[in-house]
Amino acid sequence: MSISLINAKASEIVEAIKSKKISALEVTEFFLKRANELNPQLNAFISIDQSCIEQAKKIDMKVSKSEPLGKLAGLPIGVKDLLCVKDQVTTAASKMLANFKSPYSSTVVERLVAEDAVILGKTNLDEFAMGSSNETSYFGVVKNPWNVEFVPGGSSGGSASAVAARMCPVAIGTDTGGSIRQPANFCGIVGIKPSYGRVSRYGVVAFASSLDQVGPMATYVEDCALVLEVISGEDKMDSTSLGLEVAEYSKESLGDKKINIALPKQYFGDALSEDVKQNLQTVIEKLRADGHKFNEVDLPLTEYAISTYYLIACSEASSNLARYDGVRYGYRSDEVSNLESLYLKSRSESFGPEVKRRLMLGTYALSSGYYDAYFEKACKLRAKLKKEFEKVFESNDVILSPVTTDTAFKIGERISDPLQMYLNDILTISTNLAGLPAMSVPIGYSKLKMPIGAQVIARSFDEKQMIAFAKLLESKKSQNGEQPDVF
Amino acid sequence: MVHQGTIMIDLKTVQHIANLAKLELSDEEASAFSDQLTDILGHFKKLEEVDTSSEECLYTPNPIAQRLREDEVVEFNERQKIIDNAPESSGQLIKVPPVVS
Amino acid sequence: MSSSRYETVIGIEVHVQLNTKTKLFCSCSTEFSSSDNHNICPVCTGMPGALPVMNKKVIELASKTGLALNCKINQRSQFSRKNYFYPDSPKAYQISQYDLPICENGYLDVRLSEGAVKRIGVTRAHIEEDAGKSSHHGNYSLINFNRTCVPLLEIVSEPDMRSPSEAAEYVRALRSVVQYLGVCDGNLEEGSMRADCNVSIRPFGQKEFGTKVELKNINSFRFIEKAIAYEVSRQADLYDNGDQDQIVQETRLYDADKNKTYSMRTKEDAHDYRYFPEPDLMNLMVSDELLKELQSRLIELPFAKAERFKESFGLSEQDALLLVQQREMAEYFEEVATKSKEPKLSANWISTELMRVLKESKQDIKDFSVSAGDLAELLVLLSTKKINAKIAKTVFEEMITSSKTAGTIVEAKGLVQDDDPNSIAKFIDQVIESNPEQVEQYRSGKEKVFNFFLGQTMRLSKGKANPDLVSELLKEKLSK
Repeated sequence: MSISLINAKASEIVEAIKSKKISALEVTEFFLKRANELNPQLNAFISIDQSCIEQAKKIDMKVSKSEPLGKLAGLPIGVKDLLCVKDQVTTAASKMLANFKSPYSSTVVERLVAEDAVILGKTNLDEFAMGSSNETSYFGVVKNPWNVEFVPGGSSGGSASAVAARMCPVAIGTDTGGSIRQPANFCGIVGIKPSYGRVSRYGVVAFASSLDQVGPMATYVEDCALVLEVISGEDKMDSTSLGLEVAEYSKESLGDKKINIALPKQYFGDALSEDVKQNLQTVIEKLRADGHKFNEVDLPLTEYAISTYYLIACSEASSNLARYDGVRYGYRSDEVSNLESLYLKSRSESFGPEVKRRLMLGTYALSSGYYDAYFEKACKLRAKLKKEFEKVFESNDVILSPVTTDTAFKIGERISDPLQMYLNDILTISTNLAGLPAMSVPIGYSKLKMPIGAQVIARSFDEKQMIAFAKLLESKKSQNGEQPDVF
Repeated sequence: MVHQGTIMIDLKTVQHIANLAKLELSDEEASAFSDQLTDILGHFKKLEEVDTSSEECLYTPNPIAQRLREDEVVEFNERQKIIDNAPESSGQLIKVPPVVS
Repeated sequence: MSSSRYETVIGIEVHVQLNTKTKLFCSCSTEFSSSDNHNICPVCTGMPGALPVMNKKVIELASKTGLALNCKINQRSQFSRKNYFYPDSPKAYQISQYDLPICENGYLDVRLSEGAVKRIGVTRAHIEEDAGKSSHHGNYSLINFNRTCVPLLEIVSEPDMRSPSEAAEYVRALRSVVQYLGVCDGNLEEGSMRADCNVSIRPFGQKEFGTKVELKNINSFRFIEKAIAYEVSRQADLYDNGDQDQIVQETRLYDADKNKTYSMRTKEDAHDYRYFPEPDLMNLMVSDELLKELQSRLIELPFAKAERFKESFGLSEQDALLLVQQREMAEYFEEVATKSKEPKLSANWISTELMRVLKESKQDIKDFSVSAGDLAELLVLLSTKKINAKIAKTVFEEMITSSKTAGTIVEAKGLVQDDDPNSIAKFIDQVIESNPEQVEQYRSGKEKVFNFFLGQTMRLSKGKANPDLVSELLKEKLSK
């Protein structure tokens, strides 16, 4: 083998396959072996597709026939088990869908396959993407490769854990309120939540329709950018996807350009841990030394974002998850004598407590007599919050902030207090409400050697600027060369 | 409107909401939800502090015009796979228990 | 009947299936005759992750209908989710329009059977998707999703109708409009048009409405009248007994066999549909261009057409109404009337001869073999007395079977009317000569016998003699 696969960039792997330095089969076998070995320990995958080597062989056939190859030729990718892959079980980490074999593929998966990617398997997540710690999966808790006693974050915890442990070089996640950025941050990798409407949601099991976005997770900014190029763009199957131009994100760079970087006061409050504060301070100083300008800005509605977010997300979820009724697919209780018991028993026996709690919350917020005070009020606040961001971007190019107030927490530490768990999302949810692109970039480690990242938020549909800045930020990372425990 | 003062999601409300959401709750679940929803919705009440009287509701981040599709038939060729997912079927029809047993 | 003490108040929601090739939010066919669960895909069966995309044609059809119903077209309208669990609703919510429907504030002028015209308010018309079909078999039910997501326009009237027959006339008029527009085939029996009637009564003079009951499942005009009439008398009986508080807001189904309505739900079912704007769809926009185009292409509707037929063709109310019922028939008539320059004769012929032939042969005017131009030619021959009425009917029959023109048939068979007094006189002389007994009777005052002479003379002329001339000459000769 002529390249070190474990730390290779996606572009290097694809280039090596194209130039026949390595075969797609070798690449896939390498990551498949690693995934099979590490999964019992990390539980990052719900299913690993052992037949993915057949996909790799097809790529090698193309190589040998000198047929044109896609941008992701032979690149093994883990896909969050919230995205439908035709003829494969798509579980959403729920007992409800444990046996659901999708009759169709999501647009994102189709686009990956069209560029010759190899789908390695389906990664674990919080049940229906509802959670921030990957502890609510029906298929068990996912472990953080940096310390298996810690959560990987959620809901895309399986994708984050898999990439951090190099079970695959790239994975796909979804982000409704931080579900890509927070686990990327906890696992020391890069994760992009694109602008709402940038990537098709068709075939992605819906949590909250007006907030969900699919995005890439990888070791390097460039790899995320490359995958984003492939999955972005208008989809005629998704009315909320936009037909804006998709740039070659992987080639973006700031060059000599100096930019204005906003630091929102409310994102640097007392709740920040010393580790996070110090690491951010260090990169800010480095960037300032490079000539970039930092401006402290005000986002006073931040404290209301949690309530706004959970009201909207749970309301939409209560309707989105109503289709899981035991009629057409998924779990159907045996204890059923009439229609009413079919619904009640099938749903109650197969949804976990977090899902039930959110369905209750959302149903309440939409119910007669409470709609105006809860759902509608939240939608008005959402409008106001979006304007607040727009104002910041009048005089700033990007926002820089922490992703979470602290590094990953221990498994079981917070699961018993749902409100506290919700409050953890404070730094990531506003961008989903406003539809802005945002990403998590590793910048260092805590004293306990747990990863720390920074969040970059950009103007709506300005992924170019966000990625260019993220590349610069990536180069300022402290203590390069740290490896997770499982390496 | 929500009345001033604390919100109390009592067991009766919990059962009403559970019924709308088609969830059957055990007594323990119902009582836990009563406490948790009271706690969470109490926190959400903070929203009342913000004046939103001049705001229009924002339901989606990019309120663009609806994209339209031409009225041309495209057959889905994997319909059997949809039917195969059904827990119970009879011929090509999906089978469910009766409305009233 | 006690109900004469009460005023009936009726509002109607009509679901019109819009005439599209594909469903509202997916590209599956709307063909109903397809085999079980044939027209299905991930979208219309509510598979996880599937999303709706709007059918362009629906906007055109809905707006067109709205304009015809004198509605304001909301150039920005919105879809909402109506949440409820039922096996034939695959997503467990119906995508419908709630706060912002596409059409609002219109009306429809309805001609009542007594000839009066009543304006019925149209509150709104909104786009929504249909549900699937469940069939119940005792200890199980079977679900077919071919129909889910088929586009409907729900047209909601004001509570403006005051009798069962007004209600039926309204639905008839509405059907005529949608058929004229071509937006729906208007078939109640096959369910492409469905009417739900909200019925209440109140003592005359009372301002507040009584509690309304919704009648569903009515699939013919006759049943609309019967179902409402039954419901009115049911409510009136309760009022008479002082039990009006037993009239509850509920949905009742009409059983045509027993001519009764019965409650759909036994226990009180707290419905809370939790409507909220559909986040998977954006605002529905109707462009200025489309609106202008539709307005410029708006066709004349049955009500206006009947008025014009009366005015410019001098038709009777009855003839005008009969002829405008079907758009194709009205257009056929107008062409015959214009080409023959004999509108009344045209109306007579079409409403008697032509409609009889269509009825007997179970044909539709659309498929009728005699063109309007050819019928006009026949009527010109008749009106200019080239042929007489009896011959005209024979020629018409032959036109239908042979597809030859009237002129050709008349020519070939020598059916041109005989207007020659000399030749007619010869026939008359022959008849008088061979029937002396009848001549005697006539002359002794039995004038009825005249028709006998008329018939005999026509027969001798093989029907060709000008009947007026025969009559004139007969009178002359018999009185001699």
